[in-house]
Amino acid sequence: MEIATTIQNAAPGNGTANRSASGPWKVLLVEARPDEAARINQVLLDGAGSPFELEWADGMEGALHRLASGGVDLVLLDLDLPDSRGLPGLIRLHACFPSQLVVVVVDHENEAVELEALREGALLCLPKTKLDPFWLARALRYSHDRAVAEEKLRAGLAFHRSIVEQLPHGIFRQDLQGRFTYANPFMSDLLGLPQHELVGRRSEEVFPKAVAERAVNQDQEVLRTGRPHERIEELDAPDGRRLCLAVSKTPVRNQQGRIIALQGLMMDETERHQAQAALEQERYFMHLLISNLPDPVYFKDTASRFIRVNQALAERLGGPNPEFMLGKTDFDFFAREHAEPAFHDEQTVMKTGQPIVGKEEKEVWPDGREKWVSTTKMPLRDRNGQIIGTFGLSRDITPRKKAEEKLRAYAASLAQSNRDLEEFAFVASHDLQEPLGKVQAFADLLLADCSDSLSEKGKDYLRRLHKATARMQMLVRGLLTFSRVQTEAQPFQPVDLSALVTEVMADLDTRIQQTGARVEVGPLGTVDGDAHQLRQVLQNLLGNALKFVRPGVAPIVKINSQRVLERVTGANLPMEVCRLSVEDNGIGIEGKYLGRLFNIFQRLRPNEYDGTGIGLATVRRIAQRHGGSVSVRSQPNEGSVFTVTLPVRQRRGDTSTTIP
Amino acid sequence: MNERPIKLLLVEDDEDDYVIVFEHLCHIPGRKFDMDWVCTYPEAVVEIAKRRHDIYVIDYRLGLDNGIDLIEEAVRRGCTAPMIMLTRYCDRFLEKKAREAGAADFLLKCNANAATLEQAILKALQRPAHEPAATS
Repeated sequence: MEIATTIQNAAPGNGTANRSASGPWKVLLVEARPDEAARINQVLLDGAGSPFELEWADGMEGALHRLASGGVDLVLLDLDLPDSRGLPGLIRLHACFPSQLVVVVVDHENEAVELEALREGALLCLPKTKLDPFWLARALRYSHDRAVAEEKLRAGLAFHRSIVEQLPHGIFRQDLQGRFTYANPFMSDLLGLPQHELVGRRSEEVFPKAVAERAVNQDQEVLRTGRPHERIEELDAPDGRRLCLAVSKTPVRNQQGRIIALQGLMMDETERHQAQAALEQERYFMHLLISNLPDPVYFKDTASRFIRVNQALAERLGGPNPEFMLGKTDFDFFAREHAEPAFHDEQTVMKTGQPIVGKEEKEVWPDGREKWVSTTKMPLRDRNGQIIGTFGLSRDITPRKKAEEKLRAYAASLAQSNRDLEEFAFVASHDLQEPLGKVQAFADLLLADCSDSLSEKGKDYLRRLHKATARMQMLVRGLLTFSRVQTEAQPFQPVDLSALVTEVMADLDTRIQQTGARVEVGPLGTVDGDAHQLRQVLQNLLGNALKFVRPGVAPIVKINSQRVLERVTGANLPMEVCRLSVEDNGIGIEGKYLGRLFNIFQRLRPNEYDGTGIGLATVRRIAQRHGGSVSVRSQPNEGSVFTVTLPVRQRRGDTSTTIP
Repeated sequence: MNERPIKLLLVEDDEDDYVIVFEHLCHIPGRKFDMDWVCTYPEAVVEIAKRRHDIYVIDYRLGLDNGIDLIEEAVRRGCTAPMIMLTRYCDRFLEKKAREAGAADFLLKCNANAATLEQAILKALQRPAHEPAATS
């Protein structure tokens, strides 16, 4: 079939090969003399049923012109033309139309001219006098049949030649001594040797020693068995690439069936081999991964039956190897209360194509054991994207869960104990106040009513008693304030800081007058907070600024605020904060004490200044409750700057910011 | 006013505090007090109902009861005499609640002495009874 097609395709546009089988022969007579033409016409067309149709051209130019439009089976060519004399005309005609059948007609028999014409491709050379329609038709038919056969042969050869020379495989022949007798272009490219250098050489002369040995062994194998043999060979290409070649050889037999040669095919399998190797490595890696992963891995079909599981899963389910689980389902291994939701999850994954990632679930085992696992389930798709099951893995997170539970319990107990402690501080301060108040009251009464009957010493003791009690009362009240930061927290509301400062300054007016202080207040703005507590902050800071003054130096206190974006602990994004600063020109604090400054009951100068050591601790606690902080910069004998950083916005009504 | 002693009822469950208040009142110069003392909420309710006193000084903590409830009940029962809450708890919420209930004043025990007591009592007596406390 292919051959026929090839022939048709390979056939020239004119000439005999494509002549239709039936119908008259179309003859073009090229003859200068009209009388001769008429005579030949008469001869050929003589009688009814003549196989010829005749056209006439009176010169070479006319003939070529006519031939160009095709359909001429035979040219009767007189060599004696006005525009072309002798054989050059024939040569020219054949140059233009190589497969055109031409019969040269001469006036007189002339063997030399005849031979010359035949050599130049003429079909026949006939004297005009001997033109005979019968013989001419017969000669034409023979030549036509021969042309067709030749054409077929040529096409067949071209076909095989194309296969052998164009296919991207090395094709070769060797004689029984192993000498190459043929190698196609691809083969010579493959080996980097020109065909003529390859032909005549033996494997040992062409290949490295080991390769040649294997080639010779293969040859012997083929010769011994008479059957084809294939081997895989690795060979360095001329460009340095490592080639992987599939070399197959078959015997060549003569008509008697005796092996007379070997022929072979050398296929470059390098890429396929590499792909195969890559695939195998990939599979090996996958295998390694799945087998050695400590977490159970599984693949399930659409009915949630295991189709592949790893060692870890098999071990966890108490099986000897992964195979024992194949075809089984979760229902075979787990309690229904776990197997059922897992099955539904898998159905959902397959229906929606959406994976379930990191779902924490409780596995209940038939023996009642409970385990927490983090499960990931994914749709299993075939190469076409069709969902054919699920796969996934689960990780035992029981220890983590237990730790979390412990941590939660611990946090809860810590919170409880914090609450208890606060409650305790609150109640203790309350209850401490009572006897204390009484001690003080009675001391006062004693001093007022009975001072006459007391000695000076007794009065002095009483005064000391009074003073100590007063101090104790101050401490208790401070402690109460400190504990109230949490117990009496109010929801956050917008607080006008400037208004607060005005109030606090009014409260501290006496002190301000006494010390001759100048208080400079910048614009402070509004923040969300607990007004009472923020007032406490300002009261404590301003109070301190007015308390820790340098002798002989009138206090100057500057209260300012600044809004900035700042990353706050526990928040992902920077948030707007208000930095409220209270700057004084007082005694300042030595750097080494700064770290302890905000600790409760920490007093730096107990003998020189009154105080409880609770004020700054309270400031810090309030700042923390607002999700803020407090810091200090200071130079001894120059002054201090206390900066309270507060988020500008809180969640409204929120009191939940917990104090660590 | 100088002539007639001021009749005062102290509602206080702590004897020490009774003694202290009593002593303070004794130390107010030029003024006489006729002071009665009850310890419990029920006793106080009974005494207040008699309307024999010019003024009531009521402790916040009364065993398991509290003074604010007492003030509320007294007002409900038509008491018009001023009531002063006396407590050890420096607590602005408590003060607010007391004033809302009808207390004429809110006095801290730690601040209580002859002078502060006198001032609070006189101020309360001058004021029409149960004027909304918040306006004071």
